[in-house]
Amino acid sequence: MEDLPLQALLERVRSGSHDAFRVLFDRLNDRLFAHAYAHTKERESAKDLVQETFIDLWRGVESFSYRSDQEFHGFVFLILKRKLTKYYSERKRAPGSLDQRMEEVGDRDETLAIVPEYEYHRGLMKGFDQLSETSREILSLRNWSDLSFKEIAHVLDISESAAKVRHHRAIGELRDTLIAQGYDRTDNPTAKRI
Amino acid sequence: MNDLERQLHSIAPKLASEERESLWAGVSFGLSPRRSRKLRRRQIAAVSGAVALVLFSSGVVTVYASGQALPGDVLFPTKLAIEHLRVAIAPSAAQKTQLRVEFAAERLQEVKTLAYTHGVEWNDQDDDGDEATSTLDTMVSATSTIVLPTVTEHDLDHLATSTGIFYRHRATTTSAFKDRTIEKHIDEALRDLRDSKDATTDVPSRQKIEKIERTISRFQGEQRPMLEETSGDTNGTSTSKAIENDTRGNDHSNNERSSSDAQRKLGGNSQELRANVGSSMGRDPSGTPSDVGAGHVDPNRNKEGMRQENGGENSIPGSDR
Repeated sequence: MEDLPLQALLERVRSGSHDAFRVLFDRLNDRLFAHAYAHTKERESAKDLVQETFIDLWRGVESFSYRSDQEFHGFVFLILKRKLTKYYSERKRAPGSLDQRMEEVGDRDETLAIVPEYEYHRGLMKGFDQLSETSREILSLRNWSDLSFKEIAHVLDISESAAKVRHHRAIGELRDTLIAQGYDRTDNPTAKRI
Repeated sequence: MNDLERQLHSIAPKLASEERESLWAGVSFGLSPRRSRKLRRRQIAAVSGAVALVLFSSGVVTVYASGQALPGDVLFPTKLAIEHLRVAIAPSAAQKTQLRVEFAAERLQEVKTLAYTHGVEWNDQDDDGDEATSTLDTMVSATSTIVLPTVTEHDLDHLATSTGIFYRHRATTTSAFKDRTIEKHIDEALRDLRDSKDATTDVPSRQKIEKIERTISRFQGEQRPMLEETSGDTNGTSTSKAIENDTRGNDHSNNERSSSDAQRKLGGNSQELRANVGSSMGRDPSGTPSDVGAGHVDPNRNKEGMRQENGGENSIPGSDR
């Protein structure tokens, strides 16, 4: 079942198969968690949001009419986007003021404990946290959740070319932030690839 | 994807395996409400189905019970309403006509049932007139006499109107003749009458039943040759038109022929109908009507006639109401 095409998998989920939904969960959980964590910066909050997203997906997939994988991914991330909007409104939290982000950077250590603990990666995550909300959102969708520009355009309700332009600018912003932090190409082997 | 993007991808937050399983446990738990709602929907559907079944069963019982109703019964209006509905939803004019003929025959059947149940009294003042009309008129009059305390004006009007329809369709509906619908009902009526005659030991009742039986048999003998003529003409022959004109009692209340006297009674004036019935009950023992052709009859005399009938040797079971 792990190798089933998405459409066939969705048919089984629609008929009530928990096993099929588990396969769907395995395919999507990290991608959704990464995007949620990019916004919340709290693992528990991100996991709660992902859990609610999957529960809503289970209910919503009955009415979802499959046309393409991209459209389905857009559908799933739209559910998460609504959860994030609700999350922000409930917490009355501004989505990422710089001071708040800096205060919560310490939480990242927990995540970085999972990824290779390179000093450069710490700097990269710190630089990511300092990006604007718009840049973080599109970078997390594209480089953490692996969405195509077409899928990103669907989630953000913008054109595909606008998504590409926004992503290009976000990468430039991240590069400038890293350089400003002192990660240049000469004193860090990893940074040389910037 | 450039190097920076690859580096960015490599630091993507991921769930530890235990976190993933814990998250799935939470998701699985959250899936059950959807199943519960589905179950509730099924339960609601089951309960709704049960309620609908009960209501439907009640309706079926009512409809079935109304099918046995006679004039004066509580369910008789329901029976009429169902018949009207069946006529209304019939897809073609031919089927509507067929249904009306069937229902008119049903009226005749009700007359027979009432006559058998309560005994028979009839008006033979039209012996020299149209036998076909007087037969039914006699039976209707007998019915109105029998159930006078309970029957409503509407019931009587409907009965008389139905009888008129019965005659009209008998004369004009070629298809009804071809499939012998009319004759079948008359045969049934005769069979029922013979059965009821055999079943009763009351001599007066047997005599009255025999008279109805003779009248219907005579009517059949007169009509069958006509039916053979009309059966080959789908547009209606002069014969069938003559029958129609002769039997359209509802539409010719001013006809001065003797047979139209009974037809006028069929024309819907139940008060007059009952008055004439009363006059028939006031006749002398020889059977001669005491007030043939009377235009008006005192209702008190009607009651008196009934008392005389009840007090005499020819008392009819059920007529003492």
